[in-house]
Parts: sequence; structure tokens; C-alpha cells
Amino acid sequence: MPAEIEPAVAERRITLLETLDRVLNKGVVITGDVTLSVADVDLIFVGLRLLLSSVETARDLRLSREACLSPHACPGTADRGDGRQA
Amino acid sequence: MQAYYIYGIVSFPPQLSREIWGHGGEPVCLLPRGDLAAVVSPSPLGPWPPDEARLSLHEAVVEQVMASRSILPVRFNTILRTEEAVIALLDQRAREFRSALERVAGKVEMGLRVLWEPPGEGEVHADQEIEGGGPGTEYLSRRLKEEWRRAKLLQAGERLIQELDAPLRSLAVESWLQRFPTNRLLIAGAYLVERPRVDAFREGVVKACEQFPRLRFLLTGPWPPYHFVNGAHDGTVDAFAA
Repeated sequence: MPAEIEPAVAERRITLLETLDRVLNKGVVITGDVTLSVADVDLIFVGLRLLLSSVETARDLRLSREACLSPHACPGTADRGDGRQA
Repeated sequence: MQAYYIYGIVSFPPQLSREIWGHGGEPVCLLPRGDLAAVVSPSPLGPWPPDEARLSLHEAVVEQVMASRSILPVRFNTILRTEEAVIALLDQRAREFRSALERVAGKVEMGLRVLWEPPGEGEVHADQEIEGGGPGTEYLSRRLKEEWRRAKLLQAGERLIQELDAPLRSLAVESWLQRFPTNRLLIAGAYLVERPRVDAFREGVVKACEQFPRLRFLLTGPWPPYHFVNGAHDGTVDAFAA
């Protein structure tokens, strides 16, 4: 049986990886004066692979209706620290 | 030399409604040009290492701005050398930015990933077996089985996707869907939802959870409209379009 991921850790990991997928790979593209280094590109690919595999293990969270409605357990809906509920 | 790190594009006025801090503890401000402004902070030329702290900081800046107005989020590590370069950017792409801001006005992005258990091997019919022959035939037989299985998979999955997407689409203004991104991800998608309808959208996903107990849903958001700032929205957004 796969190791249980602690919900708080899993939630944080998923939120981070969802963030990573967006800020590195989506949004307005502007050709800046800084070019992405090879290491940055590697991180994008590694990050995206981690994202997909982490999401695939998200079923360990056993998201139920109750879990979805609880801001604590539902990934991405935790208070972001500025008092604003997502 | 001081350069400018760009977090996003907003309409102008108004000025920022609160103090926001960016990379390296520098204050975030607006660089306006006409009815647009870039959300920036003074920065070394970088690039900033894409670690958890910096990525989260970048996102936090965008979301703090988003709390009170529409913003087009810009990619991490977008740094322009001079103020003139930022102004020139706003000039060159004014029309694109203006229309994108109109498109996302009053809306947020909700992210959805749906996991499934693809139907198993046993779906292959006996009459797909090819009797006799040598290793070449055996190879072809195997390939045929794989193709058959894959076609059945896509068919079953596609039906599921339609059933899932239809009610959620009706709660959103636009959607962006990636079908079968991995073996166990049925869809990865983003929905552009009007702010007052976010709760209804969440309820829609909860309903889908109940309707499809064998699927696993991962709902995140609200996010800034990352998937809805580039060109066409026909589900095939080109991530590298300028």
C-alpha cells in the first residue's frame, strides 16, 4: 500500500506545483532582456513532471464532498495569509 | 544597473490601492502608459532562481493586485532593462493588452484536474487474436490489440469528458481543456468564471464528485487568468505565442 501523504503536506505541494505550472508556463509572454537559462528550462520540465505525478497520487487524499467544502482540506482554497480566502 | 521586473499588466488609472512588496524586498508600483500600466518592481537584471519562495512571491504579488482589479499575469522572470523598454512594450502591445483585460474583467480562473482509472486490459475481444504466423504476425497482433484498446479508451474517456465539461462550461464564460494529458489524468483544465459565480462553480464540481464517485477531482483557485491571456481560446492555446 502506498505511503499516506499527510494532507497538509500534500496540499502545500499541490498548491506549489499548480503555481509553478502557471507562473513558469502560462500567462503573458514578453521577450525580456533576460533569457531563460538551461537550468531554468530543466526545472520547468522537472516541475511539470512532478506536478503530474503528484496529482496522480492525489487520490491518496480521498477527496470527498466534506473535504472539498472544508477550506482546510481542499487544495488551493486555504487562506493565503493575507486574510483573503481563495 | 536597475532594471524592472514585471508581474502583470493592468488598466490605468487607478493607482495601486495598497503597499505590495516584490522580489528582494523592493516596492511594487505601476509604470503607466496611457490607459495601461505594467506592475513592476526595481530589480537586478536577474534571472531570479525559480525556487519555491520566489515563485510563491511572484504569485502573491499578482494575487494581491487581483484582489481589487483585473490583471494579466506575466511569466516569471520577465525583466526589462529600462523604464523606456517597459513603456515601449505597453505601446507596442496596447491593443492586445486592452482586449485581453476586457476579456478577463471581473473574472477569475478555476483550475480542475480529474483523475480516472482507465478501463483495463480485459476489454480486448477474442476475435482480435490472429492465429498462427511467426514473430512478425505476433508483433502486428500485439499492435492491433494496443490500438484497439487505445481507441476504446479514448471513446470512453471522451464521453466522460463531455459529461463532466458540459455543466461546468455553463457556469463559466470560457474553458481551456487538455484531454488525456497523462495515463491517469482524464482532463486538466481551466475555467474562466465570473467572480460572483465562483461558489456556484465549486458546487458544480462537488456535484460532479458525487455523480462520478470513481473519479478524483482536484479543484484549485481562484487564480489570476493565466490560461486566458493569449489569443484564441479554442482549447489549443499555444503556450509560446507572443
